[in-house]
Amino acid sequence: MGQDSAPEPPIVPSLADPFAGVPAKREAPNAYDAAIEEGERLRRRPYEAAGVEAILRQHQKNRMTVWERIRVLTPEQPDVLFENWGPNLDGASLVTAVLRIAGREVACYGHDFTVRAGSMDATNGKKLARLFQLAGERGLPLIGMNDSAGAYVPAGVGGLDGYAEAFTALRKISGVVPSIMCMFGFNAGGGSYLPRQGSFVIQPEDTFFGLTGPQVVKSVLGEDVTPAELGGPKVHGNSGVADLTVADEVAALRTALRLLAYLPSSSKVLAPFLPTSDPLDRPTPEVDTLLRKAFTSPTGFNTPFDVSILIQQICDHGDYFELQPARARNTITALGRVGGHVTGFVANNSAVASGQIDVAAAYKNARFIRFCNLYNIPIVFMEDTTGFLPGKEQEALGIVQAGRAMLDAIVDVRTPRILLLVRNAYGGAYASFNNYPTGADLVLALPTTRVAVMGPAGKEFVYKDELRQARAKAKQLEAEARAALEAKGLARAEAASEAKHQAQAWLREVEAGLSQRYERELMNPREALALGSISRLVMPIEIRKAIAEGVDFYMRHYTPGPLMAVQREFH
Amino acid sequence: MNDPKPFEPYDRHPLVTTPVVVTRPDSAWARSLRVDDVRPLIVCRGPIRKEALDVFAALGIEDAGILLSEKDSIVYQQALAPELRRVPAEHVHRVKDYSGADKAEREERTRQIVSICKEHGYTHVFAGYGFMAEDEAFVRTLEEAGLVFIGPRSSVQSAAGRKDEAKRTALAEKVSVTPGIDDVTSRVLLRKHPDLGALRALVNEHALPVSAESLREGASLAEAAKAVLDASYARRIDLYTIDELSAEIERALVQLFTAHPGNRVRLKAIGGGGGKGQRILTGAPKGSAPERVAACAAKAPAAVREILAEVKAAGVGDNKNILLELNVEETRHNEIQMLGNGRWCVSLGGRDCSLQMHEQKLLEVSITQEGLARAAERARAEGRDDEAKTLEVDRRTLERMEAEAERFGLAVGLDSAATFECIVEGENHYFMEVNTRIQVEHRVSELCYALRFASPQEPDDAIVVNSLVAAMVLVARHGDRLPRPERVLREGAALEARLNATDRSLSPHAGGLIHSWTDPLPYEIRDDQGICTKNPDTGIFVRYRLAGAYDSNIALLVTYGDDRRESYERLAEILRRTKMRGTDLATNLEFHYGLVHWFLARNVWAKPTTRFVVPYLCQVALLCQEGRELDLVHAWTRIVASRAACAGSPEAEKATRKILGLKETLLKRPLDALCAEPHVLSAWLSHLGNRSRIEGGRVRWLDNPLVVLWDLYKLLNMDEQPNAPAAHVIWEHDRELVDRGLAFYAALEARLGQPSWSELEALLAKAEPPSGFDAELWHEARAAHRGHQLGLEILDLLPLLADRTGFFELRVEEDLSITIPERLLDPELYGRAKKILAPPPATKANEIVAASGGMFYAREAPHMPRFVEKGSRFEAGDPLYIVEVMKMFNKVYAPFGGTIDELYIDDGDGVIVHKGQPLFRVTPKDAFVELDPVEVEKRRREKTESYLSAVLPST
Repeated sequence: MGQDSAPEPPIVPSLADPFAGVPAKREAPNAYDAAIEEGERLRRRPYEAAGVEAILRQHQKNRMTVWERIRVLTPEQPDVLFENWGPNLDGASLVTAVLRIAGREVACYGHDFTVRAGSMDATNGKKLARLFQLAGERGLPLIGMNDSAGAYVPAGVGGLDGYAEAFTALRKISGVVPSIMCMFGFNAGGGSYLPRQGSFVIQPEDTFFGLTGPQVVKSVLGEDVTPAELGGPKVHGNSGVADLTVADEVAALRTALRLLAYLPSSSKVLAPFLPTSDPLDRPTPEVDTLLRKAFTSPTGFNTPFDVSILIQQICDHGDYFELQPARARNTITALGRVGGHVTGFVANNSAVASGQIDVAAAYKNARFIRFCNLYNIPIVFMEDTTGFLPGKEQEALGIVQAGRAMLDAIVDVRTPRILLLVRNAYGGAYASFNNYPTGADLVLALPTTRVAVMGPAGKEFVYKDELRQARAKAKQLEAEARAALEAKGLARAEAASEAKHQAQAWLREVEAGLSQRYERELMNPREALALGSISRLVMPIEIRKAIAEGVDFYMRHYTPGPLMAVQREFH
Repeated sequence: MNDPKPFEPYDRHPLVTTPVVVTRPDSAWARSLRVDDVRPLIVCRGPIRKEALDVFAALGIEDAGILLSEKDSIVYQQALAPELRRVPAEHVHRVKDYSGADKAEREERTRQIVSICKEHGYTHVFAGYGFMAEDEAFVRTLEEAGLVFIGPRSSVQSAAGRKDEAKRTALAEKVSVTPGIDDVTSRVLLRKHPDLGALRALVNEHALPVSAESLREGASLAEAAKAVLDASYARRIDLYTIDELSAEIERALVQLFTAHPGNRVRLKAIGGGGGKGQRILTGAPKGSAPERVAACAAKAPAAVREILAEVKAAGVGDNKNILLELNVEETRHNEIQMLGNGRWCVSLGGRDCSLQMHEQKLLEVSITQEGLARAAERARAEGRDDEAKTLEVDRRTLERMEAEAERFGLAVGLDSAATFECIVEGENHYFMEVNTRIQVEHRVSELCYALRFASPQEPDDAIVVNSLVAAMVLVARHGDRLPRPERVLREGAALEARLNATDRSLSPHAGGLIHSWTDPLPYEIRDDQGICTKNPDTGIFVRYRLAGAYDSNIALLVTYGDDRRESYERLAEILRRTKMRGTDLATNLEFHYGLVHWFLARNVWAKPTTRFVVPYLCQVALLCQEGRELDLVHAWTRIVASRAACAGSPEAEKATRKILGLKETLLKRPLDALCAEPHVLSAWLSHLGNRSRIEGGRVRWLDNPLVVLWDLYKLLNMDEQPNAPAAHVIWEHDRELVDRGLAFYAALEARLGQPSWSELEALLAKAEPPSGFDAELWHEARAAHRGHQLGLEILDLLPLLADRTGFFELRVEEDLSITIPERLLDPELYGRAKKILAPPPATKANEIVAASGGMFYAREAPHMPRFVEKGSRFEAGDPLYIVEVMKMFNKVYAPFGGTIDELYIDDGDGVIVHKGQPLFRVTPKDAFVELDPVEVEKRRREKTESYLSAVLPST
C-alpha cells in the first residue's frame, strides 16, 4: 500500500459483482402481476427452501440432494406432486413425483435431507401415503430414495402417526406394485422399517440404516460400535436386509434402473418383454465342457462348480442380474431374460458350501420365489444339492421353519415353473424343490442327475439284508480265522487281533462294493424317468433350447393377473 | 415378435472401418484383388480377434470362424468372450486352449485346427499375435495340409525367427548388430601363437586332428584358430589357461568399455542358458580416465571363474568361450513395421516402445521420418538447437533402420507382416530380432502409413490399404501378383496406450467386474476384444469379469494427430473422459493419465529409456506417501481461522467466515480427489508445470489461482458435462462461485487492458484506483478480488508437495534425454513404492481356520501332493485344502498371502474338522501393524503444519 495515500477503510471481502451497477427501480406491480409473481415464488419454493448452506452440508458428506438424485434416474422433468405441501409451503422435506423412465411411468419419493434433515411429521406421512395409493391404483412401480433423520421430534406423536400412515399405505400396495428402495444417508427406526417393506433394498457404502443408531446401542447396551459395523452394507448384504450393496449413490440409482427393467409395473401385467436376437435354440457347448471338466477331475462327481455359468448360458446374450449376491451364495437367485421373457432363476450352487440349503438359503429362496409368483414371473429351478444342512446350529436357527417357508413358497407358485435337475437331488431337498407333486409344469434332467431318497448313506437301507448278512459273515470269518491262527500256535490276544483285522478288511471291501452298486443302480435318473418324476432328459449342449422353449410355451399359455388365493398361515 | 431394435455400434471409427479403398469404382484391377473368397479361421484371442473379425467383415468375408478356449467360456462367471455376441454358433469352435502347454499339446492343437479347417471349409488361418503366430512347426503343418497361413510362411519363420540364423543374415546384409566380442578364445590362442606357422607347430605338438586345408598358406587366421580350438575340444586338451582367458577378457572389456562409456557388458558362457552362466559388469561413467575403465575391467577374472563353474565348463578340454555383449537395459526400444510378399519388402515407419516395465510395453508411439523432420525443423526455428540436433540424429537413425529392415526382409523372403526390432542408444542402433508376426501395437503404424497398390498398367488405378491385417490377407491371397506398394502418409502421429488390469503399482489385479465403460470419444480407436459390445437386445453394457486368464491386457486405446503433441493431447483427453466403473476393479488408466501429462508438460519428444517407468513409479509413490500425510480438514480449519484472524475488522471477519463457508466443497473436494489417486495427482502436478513457482519456500502463482482451480476440475473430469450425475461433476453452487469469479476477473482485466496475473496482483495491492476507476469502484473491485481469492491458498499445498518430494527432479534435458535422480533407482525404494501405491491387504490372523465343518483333505486326490507343506509360501487365492461336506469336495482358497509355519492336521486325510477349527499356523505376508490413531493424527497434523507454515501469512 502506498505510504502517502489516505488510510483506506478496511476491505470487507465480497463475492458481489462490482461492475453490475445498481438495479433499476421497479414500479409496484398490479394485483394480477403480483399474484403471478407470488405463484412463481411458491413454485420455486421447494427447490430453494433449503438454502445454499444446507445443500453444502449435504454435499460435504458426498451426498446428492433429492433433486440431483432424481436427475440420475431420468433426464426428463419429474411431475412433482403436492409441491407446496406443509406449513412452510416447501414440500415438507419430502418429494413425491411421477417420473418417466425409459418410457415407463414410475412413482418416486425422496426425502429432502436439506430441509429439516428429511424428517417425517404427521403431514408428510400422509403425503407419502398418497403416493403409495396412487402407485397401487394406477399400477406404477415405486422407487424410494430414503434419506431421513427419522420422525420430526417437534411434531411429537404426529411424526409417529405419519410413519404409521405411510407403513400402512405401503403394506397395502405390497404385492400390487413392485418397489425398489435406495438407502441413502443415515436412516434409523421408522426410516428403516418403511423401506424394508419394499420389494428390494439397495444400500451404498458409507450409509447406515437399522433399528437404532450406535449412540442408542451404546446407551442401552454399553457396546461401542461403528455405524458400519451396526448397519452398514456389509452387515445388511450378508443378512439379506439389503438385497444389493453398491459403491455409491450413483451406483445405487443405476442399479435401481437396471433392476426396474426386469420388473413388471404391477401384478396385473407381465414384466417387459424384449424380443431377442439370440436364437432360442442356441447350443450350449460350454455347459458340456464345464460338466466334463468338473466330473472328470480327480474328485469326480463330487466336484463343486459355479452354477451361475449355467444361468449365463441359458439367458439371452448371457446377461442376467443376481439378487442378494452377498448372502448365502450356496443358492443363486437371479433375474434374466429367456427368449425375451423375464425369468427368475433359483439354483443350488455347489461351489459354495456344497450347495446345501441352510436357513439363510431357504429364506433367500422363499423370498425370491414369492416375489416372482406375485408378479407373473416364470421361475426356472436348478437342482444340485445334497440336501438341507443338518446340525445343531441349523436346528437352533430354525431350519425346519426356514425349509418349510421355502417349500410353502414353491407349493404356492402359480406362474410357469420349470425344474432342471443338474446333478444331486436327494431326499427332502428333492421332495421340496419344485417337482411335479409340488406343482412343477416341467421337470427336465441332465444325464448327470442323481435322484435318490438318500445320498451314498442310503445303502444302509436299500441293502439292509445284504449288509446284515455280510456283518454276520464277518463275525463268522473272524471266529474261524481266530481258531485257525490259534491252531497255528499264535498267542490268544494276537490271534484275536489279527483275526479281527482280517474280518474287518473283508467287510470294508463288501461295503465299498455295495456303495458302488448303490451309486450305479440308484443314484441316476432312471427310476425318476420311469415314474414320470422327470419328463425327459436334456443334453448339456441343449439346455438353452430346452429351457427357452419351455418358458416360451408356458408363458404363451399364461394370463397375467394379481394372485387371487387364500391367505395361508405363516410365511 | 417385433424385430429387435438395432443399436449404434460403438466401434465405427472411420479410420478403421475402411481397410481397403478403391480409387476407381468398377476397376478391373481392384476386382482382381478381391479377397472375399478367403474363409479364415482365427486361432488367437484378445483385441486382435475382434479387429480381425471387423476387418474381414469389411473385406466382404462374413463367415470367419473363431476358436474358443475353456478359459474364455466356462472358467469364470460373467467372463464369456464378447465376440460370441456376434459370431454365429456354427463358426465358433471349442478347444481346450488356444495353444498348448507343451510340445505334445501344441501338436495336438495343430492337428485339431487342421481338422476344423477341413471339416468346416476354412481356407486360411489367422493367428494374430498369439503363441501360434511364430510357431514354425505349426505353420509348416498348415502348409502341408494345403491351408494358407495369413502370416509369414514357415521358411521365413525359420530364417528370420531363429536368433542365430537372423544374426547371420543381419551380418551378411550389413545390418547393425549389438556390439560385442565373440572370439576371446581365438584371441587368446593367437596371442600365444600369433601366425599360421606357430599354429601348425601347436597342431603337430599335440597331434590335433586339423585338416591341412584350414592351415594352408593364406588361410584366415581367425578361421585357423577356430579350427585348432575345435580340435582341442575334441581331444579334450587345454590350449590356454583360465588365467590367460581372463586376461584376454579383461583386455576385451577395456575395449568395449572405452567404445561405449556408461554401458554395462554382459558376459555369457557359450553353453549357458536360462540365466545361468551370465554376469553383468558395470563400466565406468562417461568421460572417465583410462585407469577407471581398467579398474572396471579388472573384475573380469573373478566373474569368468564363477561363470565357468556355473555351467560346469572349467574342466580340461571344455570349450570355455565367453561372449561379451553390450547390455541393453539403458536403451530405447524401437521397431520397424515391415510388409513384404517375398519379392519386395517395404518399411512402414517405426514405433518407439521404450515405455515399458518388466518387458511389458505400456505406451507406444509412432516414429516417422516426416514427423521427425518436421519436429526438428520446428525446434530449430524456435531456437532449441540441442533438441533439433537430437531429432535430426533420430531421423537419420530411423532412415537407416528402415533401410536395413527392407534389406533384411528381402533377404529372408518375408511374405507378410513382420517387425524388425532394434535397440537405440544415442546415435547407434542395434538389431535385436525379427518378430515374424503382426504385433499388438500395429495400429500405430497403420494409422501413419497406408499402402497404395497401383495397377502395373494404370498407375492411377490403385487400391489403398489402410489396415495391416487387410494387407496380410491380401498378400496371403494374391502374393506375387501384388506390385511393390507405395507408402502413403495418413496421420502425422499415432499413439497407443495399453489398458491393463493392474493396480496402481502396475502389478496384475484380476477378478474385477466391469459394470460400465464410457463410450469411445471422437479420436479414440478402442480395441477392446468387444467388451463394449452392448447387449444387442437392450443396448446396455454387459457386465464383464476381468478374469485375467491369459494376461492382464483389457484393451488398447489408440489415438492419432497431426503431430506427436496432438496425439498426446488427444490421449490425455481420452483418458480424462474415459470412466470404467465396477466392483473390485483396478486398471492402469490413471497411470497412463499421469504419464501422458508428464510428457505433455515437458516434451513429447523426450526420449525415455526402457528403465524409465520404475523410477517414475517410485516418484509417484513418494508423492502418494507425502499426500496421505496431509490432513486437509485440519489445513482448511487453520486457513479459515487464520483468514478470520487477520480480516482487519469484525465486519470483515464475519464476511470472511461466510465466504469461506461457501467454498469448502469447492476447494476441498478436488484436493481430496487428488490425494486419493496418486497418478492423477502426478498428472495435475505436471499439468501445473510452470504456472507456479517456489520462491523463498513459498508458492507464487503466475496465473490466477481461480483459473488454476477450474483447470483442476477439468483435469479431474469434474467440469460440467451434460447428463452426468451431479455427484460426478462440480456441485452446482460451486460452479456458480467459479463462474462468478471468472466473470469478475474477465471484466476487471478487460478494463485494465489485459494485464498479466502478476501485474494485476500488483495493481490490486494498491489502494489508489488506476485510470478508469473511481475510488469506490476500485474499493469494491479489491473487495471482490479478496473475496474470490479467499481460501485458494489451499491450492499452494500441491506445488509444495511436488517441491518437497522432488517431483520435478525427474526431468527432460534440452537434448531430450531424461535425467533420473540416483535416489529413484534404489531397488529398496521400488519395493517400498509398490506397497505405498497398492497397500496389500493386511491381516491380524496368524491361523487359518476351517471355513466350514466337514472332512479335511490336504490334497486334491490320494496320489497328488499336499496343497501346502510346512514352510510353503502361499498367495491370496491359492488353494490350501479341501473340505468335504456331504460328499462334495470344496476347495478352500487362502484369504491372504503368507507362509505356513505349522500344519495342525498332519496325519492323513479325511479328518473331521468343525467350523472355525484352526488348521494351519501361518505368518501372513503383510502383517497388520497396529497404529495408534492418536499418534497418526498427531503426525499428520505436524506434517500439515509444516506445509501450512509456507501457506499461511507469516506472523
